[in-house]
Amino acid sequence: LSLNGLKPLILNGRIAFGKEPYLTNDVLHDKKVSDKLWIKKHKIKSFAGYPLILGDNLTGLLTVFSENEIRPHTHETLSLVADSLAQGIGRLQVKEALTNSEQQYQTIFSTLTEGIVLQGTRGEILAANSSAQKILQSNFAEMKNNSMNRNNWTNYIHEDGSPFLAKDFPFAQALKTKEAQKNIIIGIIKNYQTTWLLTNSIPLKDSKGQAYAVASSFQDITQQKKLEKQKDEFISIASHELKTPLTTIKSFTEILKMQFQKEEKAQYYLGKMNREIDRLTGLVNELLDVSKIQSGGLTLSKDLIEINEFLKEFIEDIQAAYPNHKIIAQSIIKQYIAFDRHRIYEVLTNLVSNAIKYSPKSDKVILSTEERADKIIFKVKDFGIGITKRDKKRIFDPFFQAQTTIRQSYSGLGLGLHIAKEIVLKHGGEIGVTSKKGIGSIFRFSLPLQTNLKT
Amino acid sequence: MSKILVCDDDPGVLEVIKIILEENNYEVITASNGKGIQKMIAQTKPDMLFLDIWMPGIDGKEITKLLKRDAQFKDMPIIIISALNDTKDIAQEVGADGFLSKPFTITDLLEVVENNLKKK
Repeated sequence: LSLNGLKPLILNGRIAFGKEPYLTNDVLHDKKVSDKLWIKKHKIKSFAGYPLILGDNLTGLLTVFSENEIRPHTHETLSLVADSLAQGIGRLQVKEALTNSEQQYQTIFSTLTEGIVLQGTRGEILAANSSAQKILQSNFAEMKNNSMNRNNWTNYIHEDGSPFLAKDFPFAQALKTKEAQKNIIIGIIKNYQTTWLLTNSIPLKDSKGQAYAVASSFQDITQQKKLEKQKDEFISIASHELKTPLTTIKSFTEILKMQFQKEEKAQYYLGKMNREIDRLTGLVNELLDVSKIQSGGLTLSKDLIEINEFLKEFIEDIQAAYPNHKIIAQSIIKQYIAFDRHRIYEVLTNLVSNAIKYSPKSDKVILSTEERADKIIFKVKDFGIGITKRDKKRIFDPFFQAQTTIRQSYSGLGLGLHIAKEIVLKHGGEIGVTSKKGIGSIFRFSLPLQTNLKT
Repeated sequence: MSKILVCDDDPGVLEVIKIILEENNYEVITASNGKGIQKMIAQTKPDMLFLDIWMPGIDGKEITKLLKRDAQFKDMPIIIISALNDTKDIAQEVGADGFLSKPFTITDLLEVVENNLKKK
C-alpha cells in the first residue's frame, strides 16, 4: 500500500480534533474523506482511526485502511490496541525524560565546584560528587566510614574557635529539626592548618514527613577567610596608626585651649579643631567596628547601669557637641538594666547625630523611653526631612546613605546605623524606624529588661 | 609629689602625657619602649605605671601579668593605654588597674591618675 499521496489527512485531523475513534465502511462516500482518487486507486473500502491519548494529551494516531469491511469486533480490538500503544508510548516518554533528567543532574552534580554529599540517616554516604571528595579530603573517608560522629570531633571548630560538637553538625541538625541548615561555617583542623567550609544541609523527607536522607553542600572558603583576616588586620593596624597622631593632636589642642583661656577667638577655633578631631576619631572607630562586625568579633562588656543617670550624662555630652539643636528628654524611666555602656552610648550618639544631621530646618530632637513587660524602648524623634519607604528598607545596611532630591550630600561613611543595628541585636534587642517624608522620623530600639551581665 | 612612669613607643604621645601630668604637679619618667622596664621600675620606684599595650618587639600584656605576679610590684597601679577599641577588655583580661583609650581628653587622663592613686 503506497502511502504516497496519502491525503485523507482531513479525516485524521478530525479524529485528532475530536479525540474519538472513527470508523467508516464506505470510504468512497464518506463526506469527511477528501482524497477520493487515492481511495479509488487502491480500492479502499473501509477506514478506522484511533487517537492515542495519554492523560489529556494526544500523542499520535493509529489509522487503518482496508480493502475489506472492518467489523465492530475488529474495531473494538483495534481501539484496545490503540490504548495499549498510547500507554507504551507514555512509558517510553517518561523513561526518556527520566534518562535525560538523570543525565542532566549527573552532569551538573559532577561539574559543580561545590561539594555535594547525600547521606542516609546514620550518616552513611549515599552519593557524593568529586568536588566533595576534593574539598573534604581525608574527612570524606571519615564520613564514608561513618566515623565522623565518633572520632576527632575536637578537630572541628566554630568561627570563634570553640569546638563544633557532632550533635551540632548541620547534618545532625537537619535530621533532628527536619529543617534546612543554611550557611553554617565549620573549621576543620588537620596538621595545624584550618580549612574553612561553608555548608548547607537540607533534609529529604518522605510522604509522611520523615527525613530519610540529608543533602549537604560544601564550599571551601579558606582563601576567603584568609583575605578577610588580612583585611581585618590591616584595618586594625591602620586605625591604630591613625589614632596615635590623633591622640597627640587632641591633647595639644586641649593644652592650647587652656593656655589661651582668656582669648575668645582662640577658644572658638580650638573648640572647632577639637570637634573635628573627635569626628575623625569617630570615623576611624566606625571602620574598625564594621570590620569587627563583619568578622563576627563584636563583643560586649556589660555593666548594670541606671538608665536615667546614663541618659542624663549622654544628653549633657551630646548637647555640648551640637549647641545649635536642643536635645529634649521626655519620660525617662529610672531602672537598672545590663548593657554595654560604651556601645549603647555609641548607638545613641549615632541616632541623635543622624537626627540632627537630617533635620537642617528644625532645632530639636526628642529622646524618650518606654517600659514594656520584658524590655525598655528608647526613642529618638526628629522633625527633619524624613525617610522614603524605599530607603527605609536599606537604611540599616552598611554603606547606605539617604539621597535627597536636592542632591544635598550628607557627610559620613554610611556605617553608623548598620553598626547601631548590630550592637542592638547583639544585646538581644530590636531596632526600627517609622518616618514620614518631610515631617520627621522616629528611631526606636529596645534592650531586654534584664540584669544578668553574662547573657 | 607622686611619681609616674609612662611607657609608650610614640614620642608624641609620650611628650603630651608628660606635659599634662607635669602641668598638674606629678613627677614624670618616660620610657620609649618596654625593654628593661622591670629594672627601670625597680630603680625609680614609681607610684603608677602607664603602659602602651602594643609596642614593637615587646608584649605589654605579658609585662602587666609579670608585674602583677611580682610581690614587689603588684601594688603599683598599672594603667593600660591603647588605641585599640577594646582597651577596657584587655585591661581586665591582664589584671591592670585601669585603662586609657587613645585619643583621650585631659580630663580622662587626670581622672584615671587621681582615681588610681587614691585607691592606692
